[in-house]
Amino acid sequence: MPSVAVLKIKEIYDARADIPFDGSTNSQEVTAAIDLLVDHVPSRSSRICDVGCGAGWHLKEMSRRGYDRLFGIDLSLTNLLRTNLDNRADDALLAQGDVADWGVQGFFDVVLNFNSCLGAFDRQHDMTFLTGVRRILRNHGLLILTYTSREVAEQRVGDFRMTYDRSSLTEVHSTVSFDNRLGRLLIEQRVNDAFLPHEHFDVYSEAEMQSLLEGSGFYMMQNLRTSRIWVDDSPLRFLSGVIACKKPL
Amino acid sequence: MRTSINFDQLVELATRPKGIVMAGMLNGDNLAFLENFVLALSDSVWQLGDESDHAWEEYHVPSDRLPQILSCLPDFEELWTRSSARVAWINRFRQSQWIGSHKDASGDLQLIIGIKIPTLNSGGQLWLANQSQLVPFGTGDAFLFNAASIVHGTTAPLHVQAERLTLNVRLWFN
Repeated sequence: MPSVAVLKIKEIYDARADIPFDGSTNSQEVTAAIDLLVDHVPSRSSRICDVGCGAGWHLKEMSRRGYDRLFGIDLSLTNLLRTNLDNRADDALLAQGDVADWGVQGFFDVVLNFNSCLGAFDRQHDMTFLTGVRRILRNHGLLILTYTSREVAEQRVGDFRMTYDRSSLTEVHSTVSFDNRLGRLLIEQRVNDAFLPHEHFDVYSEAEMQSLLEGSGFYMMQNLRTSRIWVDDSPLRFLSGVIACKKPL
Repeated sequence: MRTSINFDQLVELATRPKGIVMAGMLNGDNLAFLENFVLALSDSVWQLGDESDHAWEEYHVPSDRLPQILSCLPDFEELWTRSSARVAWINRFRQSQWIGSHKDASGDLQLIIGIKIPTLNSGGQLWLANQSQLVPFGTGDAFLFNAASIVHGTTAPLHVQAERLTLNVRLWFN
């Protein structure tokens, strides 16, 4: 049985089928994320899986940069159907489902998880997710993950709105607050007035993320907060990143 | 039961040029049922897949056993109920057995279910177009695609323990 967390993510993304969607996204963010890949994975024949590929923005950018063994998995068929907008992700082979249930073992050279949902649910969900990611990676394969760290979010307590750059149809409204009771930062996001799955996003500090990854069979290679993904005056300020490597058993 | 699957969405994705993998479609009980079903088959029911020296083995599921087999896949029930005809068979690839580049002769969609799939380094992988385009498809997963229009084949399992065992269901919708 899928976990409650997984069902909730799927349910909300499927429900977003009714949200007006123009096919655009923040191209600066996508470009920066794929720059990370290019820096660390020069071989264009690497098998790369975008976990939580959504509507295929990153897959399309990777294809444009010459990567030719691309795969994407997402919980939502609704999201995957959108991958044909703008001929996006034509080169990718798509999968639907939960990475934790995938029967594939040691298949991919690289797993990407951009704007990770880690922290949106409980620790058990996050461990299960990372166990699945570890299983589908080959030994010494790379996990490149971006997420909202506490260090980043603390600098943005308050409200802000961001309109995606290609169209005014899609607007993200984020509220960052500090929950005194939990002692945690919370991030609430809405897209065109519909809540994203992580309505309250309980963020990890960078040290907590490192501990989570090391406890899930990875070793840290690089913390990316100071890399180019950290761009002033853009939504990228919400992202930290890590590159981790699968430890062989 | 996994999560609900929208039939129209599934078919639209399955008919794209690379089909779609459905991760983790068989739960433990249903996987065990299919494994035991295959184990219980006598040697005499298996036929050679073709006349080559690397031929695999096939078992054609009789129509009276088909409902029992398909009941292992409740999430795909709409595929059975909406299709006008369906046939199923089980393929077994042992060491050095493989099927070369081909398109199937007929059918609108084909579902492949992984009963036992070797890990990548042990061979026995499904590919599309050419051997560099392997399908990320493991035990318990499903792959739905148009086998009559997409060139596909398998690599050979590389050692004795690396057996490839799949349930295949061909569907017609007219």
